Order: sequence, then C-alpha cells, then structure tokens
Amino acid sequence: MRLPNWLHKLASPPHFYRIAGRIEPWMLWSGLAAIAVGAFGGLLLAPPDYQQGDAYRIIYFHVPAAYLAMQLYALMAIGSAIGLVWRMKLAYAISAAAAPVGLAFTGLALATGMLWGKPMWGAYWSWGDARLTSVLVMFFLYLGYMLLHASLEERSTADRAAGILAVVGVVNLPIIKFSVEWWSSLHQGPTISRLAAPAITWDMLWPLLVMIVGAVLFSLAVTLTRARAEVLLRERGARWVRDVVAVGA
Amino acid sequence: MRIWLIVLQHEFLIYFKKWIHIIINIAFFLISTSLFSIVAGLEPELLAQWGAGVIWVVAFLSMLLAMPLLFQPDRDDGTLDLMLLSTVDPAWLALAKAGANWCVFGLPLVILSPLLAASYGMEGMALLVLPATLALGTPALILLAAVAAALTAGLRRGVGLLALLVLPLSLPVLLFGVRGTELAVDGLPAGAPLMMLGAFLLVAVGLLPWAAGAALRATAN
Repeated sequence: MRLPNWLHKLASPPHFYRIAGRIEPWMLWSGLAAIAVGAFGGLLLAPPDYQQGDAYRIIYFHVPAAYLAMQLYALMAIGSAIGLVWRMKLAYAISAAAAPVGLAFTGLALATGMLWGKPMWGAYWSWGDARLTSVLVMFFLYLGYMLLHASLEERSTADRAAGILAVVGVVNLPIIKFSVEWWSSLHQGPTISRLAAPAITWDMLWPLLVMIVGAVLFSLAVTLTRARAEVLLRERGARWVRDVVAVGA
Repeated sequence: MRIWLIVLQHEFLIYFKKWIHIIINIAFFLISTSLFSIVAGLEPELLAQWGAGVIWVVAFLSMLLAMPLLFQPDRDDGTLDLMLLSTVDPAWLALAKAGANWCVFGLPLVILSPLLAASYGMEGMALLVLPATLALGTPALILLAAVAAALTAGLRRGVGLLALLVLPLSLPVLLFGVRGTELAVDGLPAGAPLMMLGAFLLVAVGLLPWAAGAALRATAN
C-alpha cells in the first residue's frame, strides 16, 4: 500500500514546518477561547446536579482530559505505526511531540478523577477498579515511551524502539474504553456518546462539548508547536533550517 | 525449522553453562516468598489468602531478574547480529530464545510452587491450580518481557527500564493468575480465570514474537 501524494508532500519537513506554523496560532487561540467559554458555561451557567450538587462540575475538566489522554495515545501509536511501516520520519517526530502532552492529560484525568472520587465514592482510589487501573497503565505506557526514547542515543533507533512499544500498548485502549461495560466498576458509564438520547440535559451538555472541542484544539496546537521544534532539531543539518533560523521566521 | 532447532539448542547449552544463574533465580524466588510470610506474621487463614498474590508477584520479579540474559550477552559479543543476518526470521529467533528462557527460569518456579503454596497453608485444589495458573501465565509474561528486553538490549543497566516497560502490560496476566488461585483457595471452581490465561497465552504466542523480532531489528546496530 502506498501513501497518497498529498500526504507525501505534507511529510516533507520544511513544508510541514510552514503549514503547521500557519495553523498553530489559530488552533491555540480558538482552543483557549473555547476553553474559557466552556469553563464559564460549565462552572457558572449550568444547573447543579440533583444527586451530586455542584461537585459534578469537575467533569468539565475530567472528561476532556480523559478523552484527550486516549486520543493522544492513539495519535502517538498511529504516528509510530506510519513511521514503522512507511519509514516516514515526520510521523515519528509527531509521535515524540505528542507523548508528553498525552502524559500531562492522563495525569490531569487521574488527578481530577481522584478529586471527584473522594466525595462521590468515598475514596480517592480503588485498586480493584478496571477503569482506574487501565488508565494508570496508560500513564506508565506514556512514561515508558518517553523514557525509552530518551535512553536510546541514536534518534532513528529510539524512534523505532519506542514506536514498537507504543503500538504494542494499543491493546490497552479498548480495555480502557470498555472497562466500564465489561466489569462492574465504580466509574459511571458513558453519558454523552449515546447521541440518540444523551443521558445528560442540554444545559449541562453544551459547555462540556465546547470544553472538549477547546481542549482538542489546544492540545493539537501544543503538539504542533512541539513537533515543529522537534523537526527543527532533527533536521538541524539541513539548509532550510539554517534559512529559517537566519530569517528568524 | 532446522536452524530454529539449532538456535534452541544453542540457547540451552549457554544456559546450562551459566547454571549459577538458574540457582540464583530459584533461590531468589524461595527466599523472597519466605521473607514475606515471615515478615508479615499473618494468621494461617490470611496467609493462604495472601499466598497467591505473593507467589505470583515474586515469581514474576525473579523472572524479570533473569531477563537481561535473554538478548544482552548475544548482543554484546555480536552473536545476535549474526543471527539477524542469517535466514532465520527474527520472530522465530525471539520465540526460540523466549522458549528456552522460560524452560530454564520459568519452569522451575512452576514446579516449586506447590511446595511454597503448602508452606503458605494452601491445600486441596489450590495446590494444583496455582502451578496451573503459573504454567499458563508465566510463558505469556516471558514473551511480553522479551519484547521489552529486545527494546532495551542496547542499553547499559537497562533492567530498570525493562521492568518499567513490562510491569504495566503484565497486569492482566497477574490479575487472572492471582484471581484463579484465590478462587481455588476458597474452594470455588477456577476454570474461568484459567481459560482467560490460556487465551492470553495464545495471543501472546501468536503476536508478541513478531513485536520482539521487530524490536530486535530496530535496535540492532
């Protein structure tokens, strides 16, 4: 199988550097704006929950963080797979750029989940719980990816080795996704993915959706910024990098 | 296939020359499990409850201890590079090496486990179920560890990183192994966890050697 032509063009580092540089500020500012609107709507406008009172409002941070933790892992694994199969160096750079962002969001999802768990379940953590444990496993997978990448000195070796780890770790994603349905869990089931009849009122839902969109845009902007820096570092011998640095663009 | 057998034979020869490592592995297993039962100072019934978890975790750790032997010596003296240059598929190479490693470092633990189980106060079916869970679970863990060992083979003191890479992914196997034994200790049927472990093993044998082979190729110099 061959990659489509436009993808090949995008995969050329100078082209990517330019395009990403143009998109990234838009994503960053619209993402931050959406987060601000979502946070205002979620924390002030949305009505309190009839069972959980105001404590439920942490979902406006917990759900986007957990969603991005998984999405960024998928991005990292897909990037690694593309790199392993088609030897595309840019894909590796994006994977390496996404890992710390994903780690941060996984940490945020775990922290907000624990803060929410204490008033709702009476405990910060439960070891028997499949959802909590599988997310913790993902946290360690991110960490393992980054440490392995950092320990191998030659970058191409590090890319491939850490890439294989990322691809093997993908088995964890469906486990996280379905853990709430497969095992009895403290964690509540999905509320917004049932599109036909969401188990949440619109007044509570819209800030959450705005928040998710904002967090996606923000995380992609951060990932792109990191990927641009990564590309510059990796291509530092190339002439186009010297031109970019000289102009200061 | 013939070359594969030769690799297997080569592995066994090397391991039997390094028999001291096999003794160390077994001694570590026995001493650590005894340490737990001595230090915890638990009532006999509690001891049987704890035994499954302790024996499983210590068995896993003692196998991890031997993991650097899987690829590191062959990488250091260049044997591994020659093997990768030969016509053997790296996946088969990884499978042969992991298989020999399990026979030498995993199998003795399976054989010794009923003895330890008895010292932890387990009786009846549990004395059979614990070795059965270990026999199904430890080969899957070795294959998982083989991927991590291949990824870290080029590193000095890579064993810490190896453990960090393997431990999260090994969780399901450990959980079902311990669960099955606990059920047997309580006198309940343990068929379901055993079947899950068998399923894990089949998936591991089917997929992980390829990942390990790819990892060997990726980190070869």
